[in-house]
Amino acid sequence: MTGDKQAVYQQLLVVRAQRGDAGALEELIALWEPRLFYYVRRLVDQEADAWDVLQKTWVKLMRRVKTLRDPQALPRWLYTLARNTAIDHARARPADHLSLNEAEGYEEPRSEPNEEIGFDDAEAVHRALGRISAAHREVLTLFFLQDLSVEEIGEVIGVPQGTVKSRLYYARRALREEMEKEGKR
Amino acid sequence: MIDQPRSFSQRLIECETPTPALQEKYRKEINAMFEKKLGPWGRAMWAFWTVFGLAMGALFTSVAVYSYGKLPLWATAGFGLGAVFGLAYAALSGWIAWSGRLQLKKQPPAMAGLMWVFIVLYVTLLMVFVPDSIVGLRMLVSGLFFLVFAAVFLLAGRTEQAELRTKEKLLEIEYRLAEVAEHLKVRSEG
Repeated sequence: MTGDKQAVYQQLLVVRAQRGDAGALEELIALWEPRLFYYVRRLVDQEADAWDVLQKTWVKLMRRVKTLRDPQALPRWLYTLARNTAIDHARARPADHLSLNEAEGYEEPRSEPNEEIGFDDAEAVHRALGRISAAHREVLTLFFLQDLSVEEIGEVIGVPQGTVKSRLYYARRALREEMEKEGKR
Repeated sequence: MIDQPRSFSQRLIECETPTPALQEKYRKEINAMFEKKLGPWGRAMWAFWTVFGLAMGALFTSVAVYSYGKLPLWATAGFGLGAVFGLAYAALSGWIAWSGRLQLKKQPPAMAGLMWVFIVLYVTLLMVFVPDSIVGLRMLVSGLFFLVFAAVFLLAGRTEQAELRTKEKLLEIEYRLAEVAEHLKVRSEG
């Protein structure tokens, strides 16, 4: 399925779910499960917690799908829902700490975030993502998942577009360093 | 946007290998999410609603039989309809009580719909039988107020459904167009 077709199909599923079509809701969950699980897994330390967060996200989806006025906003809406659920989950367990917006002070980026990614080895990127800071990991994960624009990433993580760009710049640099370190081993 | 098969994002997602046991537990919980298991109190509550539905069904049936020939035909038909809804409500809640499971996706909206029709019919019934006095007039006014509120609620619901249906139709057309565009692209490339 092409990007356009897939996007329209997902919007169609949203509207059907809003009309009370249970099958559409289930299909929507099945379609988004791998992507959201990947994202949530990068936010929380334990896999069991990631599944918990994902389940709670679907409960919220079920309850709030009717409030989504613009079906086109589904990706941004879902990522925000999952992120807030992960934060609530961490708050409920004081031992867990989610330092998503604790990135260090930034300078202006020297390159645009949508420049050539330069990360073709998905497995190496996947491994290196686990070794960079939570804030960097989050912004890069959202960028690599390719569902959101830079502006939408900013809306999901609650920072201005400029901050997303600079965070992406430093996150990519940190990721590259980690990948190089791994390559030298 | 989610695009071509095996994009970088897809390859990245495939790198994540969930633990089968945890995934299985999650699947069970997801299924359970759409189906609420009822405890003894929950079942008792649904059994109560079954009895209530049966009682209402019986009441409307007897009133329909009693009113036949004495009241206009539409009134008798309305009572008959009330009996049908009462029995349908009893059947649905009885099934929930018996199975001990509530299908969260389908049953609550169906129950709400039945309850709405049921209450409207019940109020109408009361309005037909109000005494010919000042108390009866008060009851009529309150009943009318309720019916207007119910009508507004129904209209709002119908309008929302119509809007969503239009949106759905437009998206279906857009989807077909995207399909045609995809076919044309494949043909031109082939």
